[in-house]
Amino acid sequence: MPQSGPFVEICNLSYRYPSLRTGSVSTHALRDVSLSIEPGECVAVTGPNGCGLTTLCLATSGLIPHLSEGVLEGTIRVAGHNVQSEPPGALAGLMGLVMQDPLGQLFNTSVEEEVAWGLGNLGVPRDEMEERVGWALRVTGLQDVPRTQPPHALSGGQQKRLALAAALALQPRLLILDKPAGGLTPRGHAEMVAVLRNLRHDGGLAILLAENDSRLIAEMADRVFVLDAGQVVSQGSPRAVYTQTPDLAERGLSLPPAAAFTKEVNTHSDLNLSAFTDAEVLAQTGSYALKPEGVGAPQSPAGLGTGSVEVAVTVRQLRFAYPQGAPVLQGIDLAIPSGQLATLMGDNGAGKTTLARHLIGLLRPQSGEILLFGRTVSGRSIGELAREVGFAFQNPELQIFSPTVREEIAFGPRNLDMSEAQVDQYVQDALDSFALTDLADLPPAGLTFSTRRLVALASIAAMHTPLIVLDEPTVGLDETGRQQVLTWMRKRHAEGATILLITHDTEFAAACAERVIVMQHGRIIVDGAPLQVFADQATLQKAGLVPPFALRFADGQGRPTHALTPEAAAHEWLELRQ
Amino acid sequence: MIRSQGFYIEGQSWLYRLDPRVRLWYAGAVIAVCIISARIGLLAGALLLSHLVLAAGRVRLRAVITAWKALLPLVAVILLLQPLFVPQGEIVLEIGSLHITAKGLETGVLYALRMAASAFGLLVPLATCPASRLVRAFEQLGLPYRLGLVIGLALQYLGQLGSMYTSILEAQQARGLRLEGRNLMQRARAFIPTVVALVIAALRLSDNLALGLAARGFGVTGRKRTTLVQLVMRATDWLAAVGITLALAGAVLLSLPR
Repeated sequence: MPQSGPFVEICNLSYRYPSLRTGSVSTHALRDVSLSIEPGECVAVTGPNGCGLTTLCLATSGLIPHLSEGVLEGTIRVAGHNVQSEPPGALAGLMGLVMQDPLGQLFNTSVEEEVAWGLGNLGVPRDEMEERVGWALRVTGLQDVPRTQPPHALSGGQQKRLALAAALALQPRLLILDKPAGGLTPRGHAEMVAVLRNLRHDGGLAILLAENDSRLIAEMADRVFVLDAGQVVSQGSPRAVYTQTPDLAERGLSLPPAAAFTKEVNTHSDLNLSAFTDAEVLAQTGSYALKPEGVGAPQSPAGLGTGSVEVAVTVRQLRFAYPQGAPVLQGIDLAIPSGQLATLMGDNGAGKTTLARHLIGLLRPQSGEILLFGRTVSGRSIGELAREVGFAFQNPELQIFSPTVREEIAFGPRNLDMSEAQVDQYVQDALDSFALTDLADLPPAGLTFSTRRLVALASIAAMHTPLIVLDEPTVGLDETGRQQVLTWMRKRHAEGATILLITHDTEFAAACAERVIVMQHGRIIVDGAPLQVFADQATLQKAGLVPPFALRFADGQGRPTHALTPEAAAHEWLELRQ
Repeated sequence: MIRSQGFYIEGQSWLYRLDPRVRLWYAGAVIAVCIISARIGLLAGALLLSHLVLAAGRVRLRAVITAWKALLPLVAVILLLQPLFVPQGEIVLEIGSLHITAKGLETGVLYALRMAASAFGLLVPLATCPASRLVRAFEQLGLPYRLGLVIGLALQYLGQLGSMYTSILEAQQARGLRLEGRNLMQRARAFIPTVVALVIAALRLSDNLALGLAARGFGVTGRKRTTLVQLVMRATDWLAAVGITLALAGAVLLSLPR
């Protein structure tokens, strides 16, 4: 079909899902969205939770409204094809889609069959299929993974890259990515960025990137469209959108760390920096001389030593291996004082989740011992341990079953035999903490992925346990959601709760943690105050982590720092400037 | 993390190398014998044979134990109830107005053996063959690809739902749900949060699966489907197929009324 106009052209696109309540009309998931993408261009769409990012991805790929009820208006044209007039999947050779949740996309029993499956649908001959499978695995960095390995046995980051390989094998001219950064380790993040950059520049691949992670957008996108309630409210280059949109935080968006530094410097000085990337920050600040005395070496904050403080978690020589598997935990020794906010970090497969599952009794020590507040977990049921430990799983939205959000959140506290008055109070506190009060009477199963996640976190919050374990709580959340989690954690921390946070996000950890514990291959390889741990770049790199911006910046300037966040780094630099 | 491949258990042996069609043929032959034959000895032999095949094929004992764990309640129900429905023949036990006859007991054993032997016959391909290879085998046997894929996905996701159930149960227990130390009714009620959440999660999974299949061109018309894996029958496969066919013929002959 002859093509005139842009390669991808979305015109006045509006869409309404079928209503959850009979007799009523749902609001627009998308309203009058128009955008275009040229070959080799990466266009990002971003916005707060529920703003319509996933809907836009599914509509562009032609899957809705064909596979969902609902009303779609407007047109989508890709390479001259009217997407809505083609049956679902007919343009699979033209467009590749990678969805947020890899579980629904990986349904074959081996890595190579997963990548080859779509090629079979397009009738690609076997010889060419072999070549394309090898190529797709190579460009996504999966060439060393055994091809017969089942997809479910891969790490979360590898699964994301396998879903990407399966889409790329079709050699699409447009790649649609729905929140590809969620749950990736910094190492996985860097690998994905490298892959996509090469494909864009070498193969002219057009990319529609739906993402909340401003760092990925800043690294990848040529243009950004900000959606709110399904409408485009801002658009332009990432630099323009992130630095000139006045109400960024209200729209659930965060500045990339380097831009946050620049903004803080400009707000608190007469300087007018324009740096948007790490390199630009170093270049623009490099021309200013710094006071020779510097900030001095970082000191350990108080509270790290256990001293006479009550110990919330004691782990002694914990070892564990799954049946027929390699050892996952190889002699863990750990003591977390009561009231501490500690983070557990490390690459996929380091053993973080396995360690955390021991604390709630889901796994029992094969050797070693675990004490919670001085009492052993041995012989105590999971239900009994739940009185002391609130545990938010990696996929907490799976647990949702109640007819309303309020009932869902009340499930935990009721099981703990609290009085109804106490339950009501804790449920209302949790609803307020996660801004769910307006949704309290809605069925949680029908809410968006990120809102279900907040409901699940609120249900743990309402249990009001003295120890809270959170396994990757911010994956899939926008900046508003991240801030809600952060504020709630700080509140509970101030009330004396002990918090163990598992995360790959060093910026998030730097913003809240008193202590950072890094694991690799089932062992703790470094454990200390955030400034000490994040300054140890060699160890971090071994564990697949990157230091937060503030430490990268100070390292780039060849000086020590006391700062952990971009804002603190800005103030520190302003004070040091002569 | 949800980790399951349905019934398939990884392994390496002559059984795993056998063409999937031959393994399906074995299951078909065993099930045919179970349907045709009413000879307890023959059915017990078929059940034993499947165990020997699984053992010789170095299939992990876990597969056999799991299968028996799932089967035993059904076998027990058949053994207990079936004799009650066959009042004819010599009475061997009287409990009030209930008469248990020798014929009734024999029928109970026969039906239980039929079910167990069929299940273990089917376990031979299911435990040793990934779902995608079974789909390929069905396809090369002439079954429409759509139907083969549905069977393959059902087999694979049955196992995945099992893993999902465990994950959800753990999540509910971590929210204080207690299963222990209650009466039967309370325990049954305690499973509602898990079962309802599982149904919701399964519906969501099926929605995502439909999107995932369509996004990669499933159902595109006008193109002949190709595959990475082409199954080829080797001499040993033919030999095994002939052996199974002869054994089936022998079993049919033995099953004929005299």
